[in-house]
Amino acid sequence: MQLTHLQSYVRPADLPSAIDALRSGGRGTRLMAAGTDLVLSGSDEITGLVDLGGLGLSYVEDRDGALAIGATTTLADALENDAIRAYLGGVIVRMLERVGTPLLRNAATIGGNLVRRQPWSDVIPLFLALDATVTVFDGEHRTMAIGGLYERAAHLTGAILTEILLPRPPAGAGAAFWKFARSEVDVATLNCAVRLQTEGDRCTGARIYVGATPRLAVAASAAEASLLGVDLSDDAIAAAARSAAGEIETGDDLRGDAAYRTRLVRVGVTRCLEEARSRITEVRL
Amino acid sequence: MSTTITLTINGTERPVAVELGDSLLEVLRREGFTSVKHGCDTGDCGACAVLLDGDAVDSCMILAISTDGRAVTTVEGVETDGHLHPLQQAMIDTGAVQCGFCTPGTVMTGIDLLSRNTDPTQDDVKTALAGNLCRCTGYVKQVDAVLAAARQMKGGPDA
Repeated sequence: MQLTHLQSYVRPADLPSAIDALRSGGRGTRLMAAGTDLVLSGSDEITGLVDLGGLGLSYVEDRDGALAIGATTTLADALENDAIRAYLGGVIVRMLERVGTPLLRNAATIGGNLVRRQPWSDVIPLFLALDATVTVFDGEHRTMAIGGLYERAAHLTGAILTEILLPRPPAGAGAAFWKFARSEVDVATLNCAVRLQTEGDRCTGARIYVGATPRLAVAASAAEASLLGVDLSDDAIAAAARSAAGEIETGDDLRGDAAYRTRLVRVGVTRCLEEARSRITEVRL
Repeated sequence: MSTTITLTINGTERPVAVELGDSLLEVLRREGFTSVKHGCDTGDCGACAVLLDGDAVDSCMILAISTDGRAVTTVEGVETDGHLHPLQQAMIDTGAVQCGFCTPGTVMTGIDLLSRNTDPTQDDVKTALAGNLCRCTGYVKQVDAVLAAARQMKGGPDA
């Protein structure tokens, strides 16, 4: 038994009931999607669970090129979805294929990954780079930039993540994800996600996020700024990667020390920028 | 606190008593399905893999109570009319079983793959089995077994 202090479990059929159960459950009550991470945590603090599996939040919808992903969609279902496979040259698939094992991906959910905010998450840096928006329900539906989930020190409390919306990619966009791990199935020692926007050869927008630093993913803001208005030459990419390595604060844990991670930042940002540049859509405005 | 859920295990619906915090692994073993091995308990080794509504999952990471009303398949349930599943037979024929501890989980993951992909490549099989650790075989014969089972199930010649 992993959750030895669990005293209540409910599986509501609608969002208002779920919020009521969360609010009336007290301090030890948690929301649960697949529960894989909660079970692993073995936390004695968890005394109640509100299972979100009955809310109908497992879906992927193509909305005029934007992608709506229900929060309890499993990583495996996302991986096999045609619209997700097609999105921005398949960047989401190349990320999902690197998350855990097939056995985990058959259970773990997109929303659970985002809300559990594990610092090694592969989903978080990519969805930050893709400028996702999220919808949460706290009695009413509220939509915000995905970064809002990570601005506070505390976990999302008193609200349920219901949907993630990835914007329709404009022409001239390219994206990439890179992960360095000790083995095929380990969590990241460091990961990186990039999205570039171009007009002609000129870069008009750049998102660069680095995760597992070993803290939660952060933007390499100076590196992003260095690319604006310039041609995406090898020199510009090398300069941006140097900038990222200088600005991203890295630390030590069992998977690597700070100096090693800083070297990885430079490698990861370089490779992501090169790949994103190579994948920029051919259609020009 | 204990309660009773309904599980369809290997095609038979039955009431099952669970403690709220039980993993699906613990419940299945208590019910006598001891092919489901208690390995790492952290979702790393795959020895506890079962099919949950047809998808292979680590049963150590699934809260039993959340599976109320769902269908579970363990290796005890994959024979048909006394005949081993083609993947079980292929595991024997290729010599993919040594100590045997990982074998049930590997078979369940392999069956999941073959249900999604009837013509897997060697790389497809390696990727699919990435979450099933084996300390004996070196994986080569396990991969061969899944490929042989795929050929067998398509009606081709045996490995």
